[in-house]
Amino acid sequence: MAFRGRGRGRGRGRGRGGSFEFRMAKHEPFILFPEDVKLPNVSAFENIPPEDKTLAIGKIKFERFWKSSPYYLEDSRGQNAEVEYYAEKLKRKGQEPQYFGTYMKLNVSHFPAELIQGQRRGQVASKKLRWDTKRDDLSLFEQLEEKDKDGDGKEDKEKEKEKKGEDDEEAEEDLEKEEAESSEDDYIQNEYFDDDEDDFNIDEQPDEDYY
Amino acid sequence: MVGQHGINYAVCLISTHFGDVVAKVCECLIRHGSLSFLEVVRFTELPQGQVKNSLLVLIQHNCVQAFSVPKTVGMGGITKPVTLYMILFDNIIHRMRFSKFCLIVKEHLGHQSAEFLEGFLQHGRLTFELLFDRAAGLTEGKATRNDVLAKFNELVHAQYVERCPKGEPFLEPKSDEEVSSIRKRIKSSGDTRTIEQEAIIAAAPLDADRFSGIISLTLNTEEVMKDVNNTLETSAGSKRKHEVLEADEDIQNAINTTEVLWRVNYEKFVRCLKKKACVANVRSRLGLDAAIVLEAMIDANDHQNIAMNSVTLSMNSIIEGVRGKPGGISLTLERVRAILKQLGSELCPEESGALYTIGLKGIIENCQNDEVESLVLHKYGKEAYRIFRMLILADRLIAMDQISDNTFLEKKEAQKILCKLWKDDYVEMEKVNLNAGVRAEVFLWKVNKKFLWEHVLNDIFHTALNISKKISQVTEECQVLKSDEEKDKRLKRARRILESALLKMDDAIMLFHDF
Repeated sequence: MAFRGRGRGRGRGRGRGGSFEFRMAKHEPFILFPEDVKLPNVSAFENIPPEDKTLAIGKIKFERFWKSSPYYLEDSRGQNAEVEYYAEKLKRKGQEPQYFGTYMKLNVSHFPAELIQGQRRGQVASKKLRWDTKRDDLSLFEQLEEKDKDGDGKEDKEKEKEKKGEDDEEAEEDLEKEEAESSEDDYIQNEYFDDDEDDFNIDEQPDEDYY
Repeated sequence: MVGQHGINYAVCLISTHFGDVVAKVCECLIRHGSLSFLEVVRFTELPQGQVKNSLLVLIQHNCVQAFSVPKTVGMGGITKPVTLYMILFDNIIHRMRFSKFCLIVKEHLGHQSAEFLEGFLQHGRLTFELLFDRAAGLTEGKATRNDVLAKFNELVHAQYVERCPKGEPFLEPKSDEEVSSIRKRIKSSGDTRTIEQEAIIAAAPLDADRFSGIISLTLNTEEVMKDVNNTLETSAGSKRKHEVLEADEDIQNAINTTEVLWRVNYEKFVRCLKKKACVANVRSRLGLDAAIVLEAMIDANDHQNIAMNSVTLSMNSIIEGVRGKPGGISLTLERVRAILKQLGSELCPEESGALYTIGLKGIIENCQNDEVESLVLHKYGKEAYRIFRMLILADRLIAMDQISDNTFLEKKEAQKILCKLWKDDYVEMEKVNLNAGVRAEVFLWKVNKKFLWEHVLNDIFHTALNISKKISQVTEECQVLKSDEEKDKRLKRARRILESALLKMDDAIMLFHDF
C-alpha cells in the first residue's frame, strides 16, 4: 500500500524538468511528400562560384579513382555474384586486374602480423603499377555501340593495349587463379567455420573469451 | 561521441569509396568499439579473407589503428598479446574534404605539390619510391628524382605530410602501484585517458622524426644493398669502419626512400581550414583590415599547440606579418592597435614588450551561434529567432514574462513558439511552483548549448547523409538515361547544386565537430 503511494508521488515529482515527461503521442498518418512545405527557388542556388566548382570536380575525381582502384573490394558472396563477376571481367577487358597489396608495404612494421600472414608479398616491378586507374563509366552496351561507330580506330587502340598486357598476361592469370582460389577458401572456411573445432587455424588460442 | 546519423554518414562514405564489405567492417568497429580480428569476423559474419582485406584497406587509408594489449589466457595466467583494431572516426569524415586539402596546398605551394598531395590522398600512404614512380608514370617519365625530392621535402617541412604512425604498438599494462597513483592524479586533474587515446599516443612517431624530410637520395638502392652486404661480410679492422659508417648512411637513405611510409597530416589541414573560417567570420563582422591582421597573426604564430585555441604575438611580429600581406602595407600602427582592441585581444605585459592574445575559441563560438541562429530563423520565423537569440545571449534560465517583455511579443504567441522549439529540443524548460499563497506555475526557459550543439551536429550529419544518397541516386539515373537530353541536363544541374550544397554542409560539420 505504502509502495503504491510512493510510486504516485514519484510520478508527480517527475512532472518538472526538461523533455523527460511522458506524453501521449498523437497518432498522425505519415505523409511522404507534405503539401505545406515551401521550397525555395532553385535559381538562387545555381550561381555556383568557380572555387566551389573546382572543389566539387576534385571530389568527384577522387571518388571515381577509388571506385576503379583495387582498394574497392567487391563482395564475392552475393546472389548475383557470378553474374556481376563476369560483367566486371568484360568491362575490364584490356585492363589488368590489380591486387591492392601491390601499392602497399605489407610488412610487420606497418601492419599487424595476423593480417599479412595470408597475403601475397614480394617485389612488384614498377611498370606494373597503374597510377591513373580509369575504368570506363559507360555501360557494356554503350561500349559495344562505340566500337561499331568508330570501327577501326578503336580496334587499333585495343590491340595496342593487348600488346602491353601480354607481358603481364602470365601475372594476370596467376592473379586470377589466386583470386579464385582465395574465394574458394572463403567458401570452404565459411562452411566449416565452427568456433570450437577450428582445424584450419591451429595456431590460434583455444580458449577465447566470448562476450 | 557522435550521434546515430554521424555513424551512418561515415559508413555511407566508406561504402561509396571502398565498397559494401569494407563498410560493413567499418560499421562493426564504430558501433562495438575496439575489437580483435576474430570478434570482427563473428560480428560481421563475413569470411575471414574478406575481413582481413577490409582491415588492410582501412589501415592503409588511415581509418583504423591497430594496437596490441596483453591478455591473460587460460588457467595458468599466461599473458599473450592480442591485437585490437580501433576506428579513427575523424579521419573517415576527413575523406569528404580531400579536394579542399588539395586547394590549400595548391594556393600555398603550387600545382605540382598539389599533384603529389593527391597521390598521398588517393593511396592513403606512400613511400618516397612509390611517390616517384607515380610522378614518373603520370608525366610519362619526365619527372626527375631530385625534382620530386625537392617538392616532397617542401610538403614535409610545411607539415602537410608526416611520417606514418607505428603499425601495432604494444601497450604495457600498468602495474598496481602505478594505477593507484594515477587514480589519485586523475581525481585531482580529471583527465582520464581511454585505451584508444593511449594507443594513438603510443603509435605516434617521435617528434624529431615526424617532419624530418629525406636528406639525400641514393641513386641505386639495389646496388647499395649489395655493396652493404659485401662490406659487412668482409669487414675487419678499423680501415673498414669508415666504409661501414658510409654504408650505414647509405642503408639509412635506402630505408628512408623505400621503407618509410608517409601520409597526409590531417591536423595541419584542420588548422588551415579553421584559420579560413575565423578570418572569413572576422571579415564579415569587422571588415577587411581586421581580417588581414588576424590572418597575419595566425600565420606568424608557431602552432605549437595542436588545438590552436589562441594566438599570442608581440606587436613587432604582428606588424611584420601584416606588412607581408596584400593590402596590409597601408595599415598604420594605430590602426592595428584599434583592430586588436576590436578583436578583444588581451594584453599580457612581458619583459621584452607587450604580447597580444586573441582567443580563437570566441570567434568559432560566434560562427556556431550564427549558424544555429540562421537555422532557427529559416525554420521557425523571425519571432522565434528573436526569442532564441535572447536566450542564447543570456545563457541562463529566463522566466516567461521576461521573454515576452524583452522581445515585444504577446505572451500567448511567445508560449506557442517556445513550445514548438521545446518539442524539437532547441530549448529546455523548467517548471517552478511558487507556493506563495497563490499557486502559480512559472515556466523558465534556457538554451543548453552543449546539448543543442550535439543535436544540431546530428541534424547536419543527417542532412549530409541525405544529400549524399540523393547524389548517388541522381548519378545512377544519369547513367541510365543518357538518351533523353533534357532530363540529362536537368539531372546534371541537380547534381551540381547538390554537390555544392554538400560542400557547404561539410563546412558546417567542421565547424561543430573539428574546430
